[in-house]
Amino acid sequence: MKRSKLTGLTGAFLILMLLFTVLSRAADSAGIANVTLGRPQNMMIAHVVRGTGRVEQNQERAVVTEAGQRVGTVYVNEGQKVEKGDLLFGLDMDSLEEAVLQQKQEIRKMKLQIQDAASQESVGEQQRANAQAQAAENYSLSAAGASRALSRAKENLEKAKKELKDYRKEDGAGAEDTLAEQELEQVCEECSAAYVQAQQNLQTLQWRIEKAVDDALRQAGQSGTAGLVQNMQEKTGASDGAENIPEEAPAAARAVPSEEPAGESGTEAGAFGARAAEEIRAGESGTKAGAFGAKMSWGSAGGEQTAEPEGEIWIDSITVEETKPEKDAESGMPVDDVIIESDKESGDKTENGGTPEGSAGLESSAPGDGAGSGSSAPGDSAGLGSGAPGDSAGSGNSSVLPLPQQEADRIEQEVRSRYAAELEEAQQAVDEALAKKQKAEAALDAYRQEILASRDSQSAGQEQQLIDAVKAAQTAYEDAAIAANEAAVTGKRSVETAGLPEARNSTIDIYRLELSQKRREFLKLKRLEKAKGRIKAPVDGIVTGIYVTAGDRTPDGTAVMLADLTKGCRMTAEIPQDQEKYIGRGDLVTVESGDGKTKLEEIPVESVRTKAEDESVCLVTVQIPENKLQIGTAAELSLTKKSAAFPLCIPLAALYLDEKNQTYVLAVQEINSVLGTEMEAVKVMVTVEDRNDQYAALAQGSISASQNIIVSSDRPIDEGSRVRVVS
Amino acid sequence: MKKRIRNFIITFLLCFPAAVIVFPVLFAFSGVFMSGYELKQYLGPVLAGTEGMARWSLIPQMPTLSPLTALLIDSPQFFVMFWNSVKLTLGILAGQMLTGVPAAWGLARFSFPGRKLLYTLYLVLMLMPFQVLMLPQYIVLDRLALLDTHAGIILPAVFSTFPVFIMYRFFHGIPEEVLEAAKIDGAGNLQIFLRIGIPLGSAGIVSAMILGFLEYWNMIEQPMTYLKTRALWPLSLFLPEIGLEEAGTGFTAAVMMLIPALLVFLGGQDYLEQGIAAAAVKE
Repeated sequence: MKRSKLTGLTGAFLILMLLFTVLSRAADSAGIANVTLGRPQNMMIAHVVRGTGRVEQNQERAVVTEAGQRVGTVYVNEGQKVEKGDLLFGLDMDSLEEAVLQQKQEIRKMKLQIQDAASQESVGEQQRANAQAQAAENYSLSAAGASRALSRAKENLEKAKKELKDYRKEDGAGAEDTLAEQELEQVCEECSAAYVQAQQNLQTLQWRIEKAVDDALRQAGQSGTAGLVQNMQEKTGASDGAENIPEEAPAAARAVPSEEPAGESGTEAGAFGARAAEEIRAGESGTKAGAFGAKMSWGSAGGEQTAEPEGEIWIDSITVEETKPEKDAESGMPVDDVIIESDKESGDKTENGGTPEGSAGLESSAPGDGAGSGSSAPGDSAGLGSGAPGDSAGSGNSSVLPLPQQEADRIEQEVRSRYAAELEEAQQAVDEALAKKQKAEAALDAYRQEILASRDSQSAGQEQQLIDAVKAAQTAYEDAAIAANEAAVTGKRSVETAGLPEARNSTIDIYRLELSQKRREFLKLKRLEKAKGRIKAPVDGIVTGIYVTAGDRTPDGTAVMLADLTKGCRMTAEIPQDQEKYIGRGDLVTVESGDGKTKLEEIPVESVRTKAEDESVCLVTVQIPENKLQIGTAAELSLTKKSAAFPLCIPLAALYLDEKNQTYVLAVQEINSVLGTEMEAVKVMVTVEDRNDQYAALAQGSISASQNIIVSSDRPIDEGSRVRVVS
Repeated sequence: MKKRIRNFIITFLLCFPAAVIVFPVLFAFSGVFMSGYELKQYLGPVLAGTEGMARWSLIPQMPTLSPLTALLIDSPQFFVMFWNSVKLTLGILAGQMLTGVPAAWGLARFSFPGRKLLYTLYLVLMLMPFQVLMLPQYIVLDRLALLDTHAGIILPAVFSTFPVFIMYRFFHGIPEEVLEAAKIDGAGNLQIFLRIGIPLGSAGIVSAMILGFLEYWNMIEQPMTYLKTRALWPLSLFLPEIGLEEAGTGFTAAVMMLIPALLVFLGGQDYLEQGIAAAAVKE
């Protein structure tokens, strides 16, 4: 190859390389981003909160009318502005008149129903009163009969004794003999009294056992079906007294300082009385109970003093006091009352027990014999009062479901066995008393026979006759006393039964309520009729909803909805959730109408809350001053809030976000490359403290105020991009 | 006829090693026209760790000039390095011309005490590999504040002993009679050197220059050791920076780098052979 040719080739090669050098340089420099640098500045970040919304009414006013009326004409359209008194819609007059008539008839019907119910109730009342009166009458009759028999027996006895005495006086028997005989007679009388007492105790005890069995059965039934009973009682409105008695009575009894069963049962009765008294006073058990108390006149004045003490009482005599009001004043006894007088005696046999219900049914006047027991009439009258509540307790029993027969038998057995010892004791006491009495009588007889034997046979025979008569009278008296007691017990029981209060009956009250309701409706219809069925706007407003159509019936709820213009209007604007922190209640905002014609400055924010359906949106509400903006106008709300000064603020364009959503800025760094010293962008991680749509405030630490960062670039750059700094 | 057959067989047999030796060049040339995708397919197993064995095709399946454009238009770095190489090589060769030629002349033509010792020292230094001289050179360059400059590469190379050794052979071969005749004609030492020595020893000078060019054009240890600033790097350091992604660019750069060496070689082939022969002759 020629050397010159080679030299030419070499030269060409070098020129080519030179050319490409220039070319590649040019291409490279075209690809470098021109950036401007800037330093973070100390400035305030202003936040502009903007939101748009519509002006709305503050209050809606619903126009309602009677449901079910036929609508004749609707005069307004949705969106229409109405003034107070403007016609909204009219009702069909024919249908309205018909409705008024119908309502009138309904009212009449109701009145008739009330009358029917009232007459029914009064008849029932009458019947009940009759039944009670009858029971009381029966009781008083039997008691009177018994007491009459008793007093007759006593008279006979006295007479027989007197005859014997007289005969002896005539006969002129020895004084010493008489004295001895009197002593024996005394013993005999005491024994007799003790026998009667024992017999009465036995009766009382038997009655008590029956009552205890009854109570136990009722309680068992109640506990078994407590819920049901409760229901029924609530339904029937059974008096509170009825369900309270079983629990309260024993509690009251416990308050009495008596440990003995007799006393206890006595006080129990007293407690019942107290209860009755309270109820009567409270008027809770109804007028019937009160009426009964008044009719029977079994005073309950001393009822709550209760406490039948442990004194032993036995019935000595029964008298029907006809006219002794002043004597019995202390027991609150009016005239014509049945009074069963019981003589009190401080007995030595405490095991005898009291006469709880037995004597409780009696009125003891304690004539002249106040010694020892300190028992008083009020206690007994308390017992009398016990009738009513006792029976009301019975009514509770009636509402209890029947127990299974086996269970009932078992309970009865149990109660009876509990009283078995007592019963036996009482029985024994009766037997003993009888034996004693017989012994005493035998002794008296023997003594008399002895005396008679020393007399002549004729006078002896005569005297024997008299003595026999006395004896017979004595026996008759005893029997009468026992019979009187029994009559008192059974009589009282039947009175109690008759005194059951009736289940409450509220039919009339309910009818009355319905009637008043119907009357109200009638008045409303009447008013509508008077207004010729025309419904008018109650306030100035804009119709926002019509829920009636001509020809159909009016709905139960709203007929026409009005936006109340008198209550002003408000605007609710939506702002993004992240701007919520810049706006708060009381902040003054600017509201500008959509067309830009109206601008309201310094309107306070009424409320800021998150939208219920969309959590990313907040609702800001402001009150619009009256007559400034029309309802339905679109408006924009804005607020500019400046933050505190931040030392490191950069334009938002200088802030970059990496794939991990972390913020950084780009600084420039000199690098040593093949092409010489070049500028390259480097990443500096920063923390943004606050930002608006223009600037971001950076936390101190990552960059300094003197550091240059890239604030703008003529092409997208990122970490590692080669850059050329302009200016 | 028989001779011809034998020549043919010998030629045929020699073609195999020749092909083996030429293959890398062909390899590089074909790579210039291959797309990045094709290169990746062939070289992936070696360079990117993909499965299979590396393959090569001398004829590109999808010929393209994109590596060429990528290098010539989009790689200003390449040109920076190219001109750096040109600068270094020419600087060294010029320096060697200025210092090596007189030195060789002096050693070959003048007799002075210690000449033999000096020449032996030259030989010993010539035999020293770069690795041995690297540290002392570094320290000296550091003291002279020549590190990370082109001068730091050029100056040590300027005083290299190898061209002196080559030229010594040629100057030594100039007949004494020619020089005496010049002296008789009244020529001074300088005139003899410029008018007789250099023209007669030009073959030696050129061959030393060509050998020097080839050596310094491909020089890699010195710039790597003494140059920190990338902007000063010669082209020999461009290729190590090329990855698989730019394999095409790499091949193109290799070819570009080959061109000047090839031109110099073609231009100075005769001298080169003479120079190599001269170096081979022992005294």
